[in-house]
Amino acid sequence: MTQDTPTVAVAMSGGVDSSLAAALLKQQGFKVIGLTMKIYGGELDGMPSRGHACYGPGEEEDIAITATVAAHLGVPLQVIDLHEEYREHVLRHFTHEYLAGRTPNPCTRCNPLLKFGFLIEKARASGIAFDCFATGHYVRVCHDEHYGRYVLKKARDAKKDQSYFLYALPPSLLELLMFPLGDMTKDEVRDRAGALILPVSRRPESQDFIEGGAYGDLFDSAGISPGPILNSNGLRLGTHRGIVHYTIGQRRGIGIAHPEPLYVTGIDAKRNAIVVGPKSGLFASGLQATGLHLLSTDALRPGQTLQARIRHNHSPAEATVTDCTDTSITIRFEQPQLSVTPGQAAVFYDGDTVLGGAVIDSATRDAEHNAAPAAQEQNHA
Amino acid sequence: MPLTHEEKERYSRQIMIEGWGLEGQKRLQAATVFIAGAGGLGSPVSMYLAAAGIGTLRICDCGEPELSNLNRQLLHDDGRIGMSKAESARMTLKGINPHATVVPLPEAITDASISRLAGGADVLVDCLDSFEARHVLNRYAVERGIALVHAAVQGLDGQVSVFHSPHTPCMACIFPREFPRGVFPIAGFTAGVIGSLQAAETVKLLLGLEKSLYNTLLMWDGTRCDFQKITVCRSPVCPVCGKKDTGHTPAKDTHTP
Repeated sequence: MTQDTPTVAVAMSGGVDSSLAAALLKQQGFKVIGLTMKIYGGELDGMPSRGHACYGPGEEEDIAITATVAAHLGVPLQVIDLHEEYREHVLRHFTHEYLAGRTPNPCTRCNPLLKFGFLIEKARASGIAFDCFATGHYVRVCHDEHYGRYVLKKARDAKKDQSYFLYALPPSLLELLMFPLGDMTKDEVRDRAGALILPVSRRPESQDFIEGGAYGDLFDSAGISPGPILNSNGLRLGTHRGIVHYTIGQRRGIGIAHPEPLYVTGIDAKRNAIVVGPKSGLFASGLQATGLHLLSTDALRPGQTLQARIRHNHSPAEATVTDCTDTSITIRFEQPQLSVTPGQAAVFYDGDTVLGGAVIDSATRDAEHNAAPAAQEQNHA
Repeated sequence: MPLTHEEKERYSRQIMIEGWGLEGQKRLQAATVFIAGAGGLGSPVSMYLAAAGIGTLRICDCGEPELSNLNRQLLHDDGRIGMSKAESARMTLKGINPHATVVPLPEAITDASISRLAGGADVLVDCLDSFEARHVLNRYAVERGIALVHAAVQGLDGQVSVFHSPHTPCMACIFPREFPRGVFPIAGFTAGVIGSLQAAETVKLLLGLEKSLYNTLLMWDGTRCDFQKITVCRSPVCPVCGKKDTGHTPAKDTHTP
């Protein structure tokens, strides 16, 4: 680690974003080392390849592309094998959550545990020295006077913001992180990518967790069995294919003829049942969440107002903390929100600053709100 | 202070600009800008800022105009050779706009003097030719959280950026070393192009317009007449703006979200 030129390790995937991050840092004059994760453990072997994703048999090709990009940029690339860590900390958790009737978000686990955890740890342990760590995420880190520490902030371009996925980073890591894309607009990214890396890569960054979104392939068929589809009064309306195939708010694929559209409003793993109802049944006045992780502040207190984002593409909703312990939190929304989904992360903001987050345990439903859903559809994918 | 009829007339063509208006003009009138250097870059910067109606210009230079300066340092002329550059600047700027308060500062910029010289400026403008003094200015800007409009020129090349720690990298994140000083080639219009961009960015900062050179180094290649933007990033291990002691013990650090 020389005093003059810091060395930055960049997590590279072969996609445009992480390639551009490496290119920009190199252009600025940093010594840049590329790190790429090998996470695929063969679980989907034999399945037809369904395109570009984080996890799947296409990984070998992705690593080859990453190597081409790195060579083009003049960046040495190290492949770090993390398939066991991935299986243990992401895949197992993912299937376990689904079987428990919850809908996990693998990115909110993979990032803090794998990309910002084991990847850094294992690279250093294997003798790779670096001063700072960078990724192609659209977020910002800066020292904040108000909080008296380094904080994580939303990207300058709100449409590209990925702060939801990073709420669980260790606070002590923030001061060493660099996000070269966090301050760039979409146009700037397009221009710079065109100039610096397009000769080698036009691939978008992976958006899917599993190739083709085929989550079902991860489950042992023994753990999945058909069961009842119930309405809110417990009346059986039909039969489902296994609870892992459903998520809260889902409308299509329920397969029941009904005068008004039916949505999945609940998943009851104990009874192996899917509960369906009209759209009004999807509104929640608040939520309870556990596994509270604070990033930019030491505590949240009852009465505090904040904005809560209940899934990645949700516009953060004004809310008030009604109860908070070291590990759990209850909030109440100013306006009822659609599809509060157990297993998804609730991430808490103060404006642009990520305060922290937790995993949604349950939704609060008030009788009055069920009757009169006043809030607008917030979920624009 | 309300704008007089004469001032409204003087600034009428820029007040028409979207996002500027009378309110913006009053903001400029209330502003103080510290211009470090009254040479090649300091000339267009201070002349355009004075003409734009910046209330107070603190212009700092410990040198005297020489004959070989006059190809580019338009603040000065033959009759001012041997006079203080800061004082010569004051005379020219008052001639451009009598409403401007011009504070001539014929002193060297050092760690000991910078706080007194900058005197509560809203924006600092780097029109220096020495990286040693630039780093003094940069340390002060980082310590006080003041925006620093940086530029450097040579021959037919120039660069501009706005450093505003902690929102952007600081100068030391990008130029950690001091470059050797000496007699280098320079065309007058190079300083004109780049100094005009600095004046534009300074006014935009004061008006609260788009922060287009935050995290961006704009480079002009005058030979090819080509502008290029480079995205620049804060260095977490920068000796000036990096790793602030947060006093925060990360007790909650855990690998379990």
